[in-house]
Amino acid sequence: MEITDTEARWAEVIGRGFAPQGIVLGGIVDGASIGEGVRDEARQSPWYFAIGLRAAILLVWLSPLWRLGRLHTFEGLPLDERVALLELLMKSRVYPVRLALMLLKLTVCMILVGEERALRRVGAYHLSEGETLVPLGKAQP
Amino acid sequence: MSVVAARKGAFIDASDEGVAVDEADFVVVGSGAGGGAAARALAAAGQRVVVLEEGPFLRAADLGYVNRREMTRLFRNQGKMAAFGRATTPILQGRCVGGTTFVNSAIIWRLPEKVLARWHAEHGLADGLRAPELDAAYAQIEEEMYVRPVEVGVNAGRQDLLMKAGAEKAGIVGQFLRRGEKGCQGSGRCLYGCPHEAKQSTAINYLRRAVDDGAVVIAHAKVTRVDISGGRAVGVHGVVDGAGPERKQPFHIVAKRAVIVAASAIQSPNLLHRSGVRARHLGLHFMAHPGTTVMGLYPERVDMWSGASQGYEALGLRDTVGVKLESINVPPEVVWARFPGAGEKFARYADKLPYAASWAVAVRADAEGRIRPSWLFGDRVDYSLTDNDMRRVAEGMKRLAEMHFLAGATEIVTGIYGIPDVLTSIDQIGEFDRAPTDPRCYSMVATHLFGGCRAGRDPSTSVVDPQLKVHGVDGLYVMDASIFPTNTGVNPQHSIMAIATVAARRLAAA
Repeated sequence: MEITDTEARWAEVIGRGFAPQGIVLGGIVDGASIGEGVRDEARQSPWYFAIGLRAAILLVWLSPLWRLGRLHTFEGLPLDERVALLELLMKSRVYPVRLALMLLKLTVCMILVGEERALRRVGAYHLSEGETLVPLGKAQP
Repeated sequence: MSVVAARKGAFIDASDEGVAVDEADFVVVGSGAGGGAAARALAAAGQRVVVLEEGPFLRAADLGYVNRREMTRLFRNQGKMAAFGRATTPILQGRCVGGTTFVNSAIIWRLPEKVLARWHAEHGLADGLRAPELDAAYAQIEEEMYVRPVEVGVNAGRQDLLMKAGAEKAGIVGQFLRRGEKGCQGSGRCLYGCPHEAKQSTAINYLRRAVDDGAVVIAHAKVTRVDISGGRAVGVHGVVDGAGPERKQPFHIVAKRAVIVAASAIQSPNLLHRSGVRARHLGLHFMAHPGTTVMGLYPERVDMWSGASQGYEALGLRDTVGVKLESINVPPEVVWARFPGAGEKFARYADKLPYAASWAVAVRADAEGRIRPSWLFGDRVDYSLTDNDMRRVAEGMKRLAEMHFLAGATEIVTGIYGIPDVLTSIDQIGEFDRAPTDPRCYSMVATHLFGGCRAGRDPSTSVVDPQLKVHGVDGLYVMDASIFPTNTGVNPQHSIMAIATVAARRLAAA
């Protein structure tokens, strides 16, 4: 399922609420596009996951209205208020809201720490040491 | 489609080459623990065997380590399958040649004697699953799959050593895990397939042995229906998956002797259902070992992604609380997401990833769910953990938190909605006693799936008989964890392989 350019942009703004630029692993993944990552995720995922992702984006985007009673979108809030709102939503008493926020947060983390540079930075899987893969086994095509 | 009798062993990608087989003695649906072991036993007995796997065949050199990419390639529904009930619970199942054995930690546990005794006494399986035959199969599998414990100085990671220290200080009996591996270098990538071909999945072991004995293993061959005619399974219908030129081509393979369904606890019952089998208990009694993790942050680097993906288990609570505790190297992307909050504070947690240790509690859950085909989801799983299950999960998490602190952790991430996100002292672990019993307050993942085609002597309460033949249908067998009539409390790969080996040998000799 394809998400729109607008949804991708919203996802970028929300994602940077979770993980502001310049901070994650010293800023080495600042160049990563969360919006494009979310677009890829929606494209490759089962339809129900993609719909959940789109619903979560919309839910957060409009949350100042329904959660704070303020006539703003998420982008209309200053960064510290965006962060506070995300934390409020993650602590919501309503399970689907918490689930939606968990989905978004996990997706953002997948995109940012899933970057090769990030995995090397955290020292995952011996990546910093380099490795040699074994040749194919005899019975493989 | 060319017509080739399955006489010469080969791995084939149907997406590129088509399904170049139209007949075999035995058609095995699924290539995981059950399918791999059944194929190996049948081929070794001189039978013509074709194994059909809907997922891809992956080479060691193709395997990566970026979670988003590998989950998409190796797991069912791109790793985004879930059970629905009181909470939404993700389910992880491999979908590739080797099935879940390709993406698990290759942990080897024989079926506990108590569990087998219960199957004999309560489900009438004494004739089908005899202990001496199973013991012989276990011994053979352990030898052929190079089973040995994780070893300090070889492939035990620092988080395994920390867990050992924590368990010992907490007085909980534990041990290094026994795994099927040969030459494990501790690259920590079991979840994505082993890049060194050290971990012994069926893809690199039993299926190769089967191919050496003449079996044909076909990837990207999705079976849609077992062909049942006159009360007998006579073949399978399917369609080619993947992205190659043969994609979407239908195929039909005749099974001269039998069709063996080994497609997992979710897909096997649904395949039988789609094939017209109408047993009353088909799709019922679905069970699992759902689990979650408790993370500890340590003052020194842990580097949990160095070492075997799972290296140590604390067993002391298995028979009392009904939980098993294991170290597990959850991918860094997922670990980071488990830290609380948002914004700068959350972002800075990424710097702490090398200092985190992740230990899991898996519960032998009382809950039983239901599997059924769904035009919306393909496979629908209804499953809700009970309050008693959640109490035991919380108790297991409390003990993990205690072990973390005793091992030197300075912070614990609880991961439970309703109690503090972070604990900083062992004096605070009483918070777990206040944990809610609502599964929606936890981040659980369901692995080790059982039931759906449970075995039993009585056709009115089971789907397959003690020989694992579907009641009322000749030539149709189920040989995977879906036949388990109860939960086991231990990792199931070894039990599945041994049971499939015994049943397939008997079938070949019949």
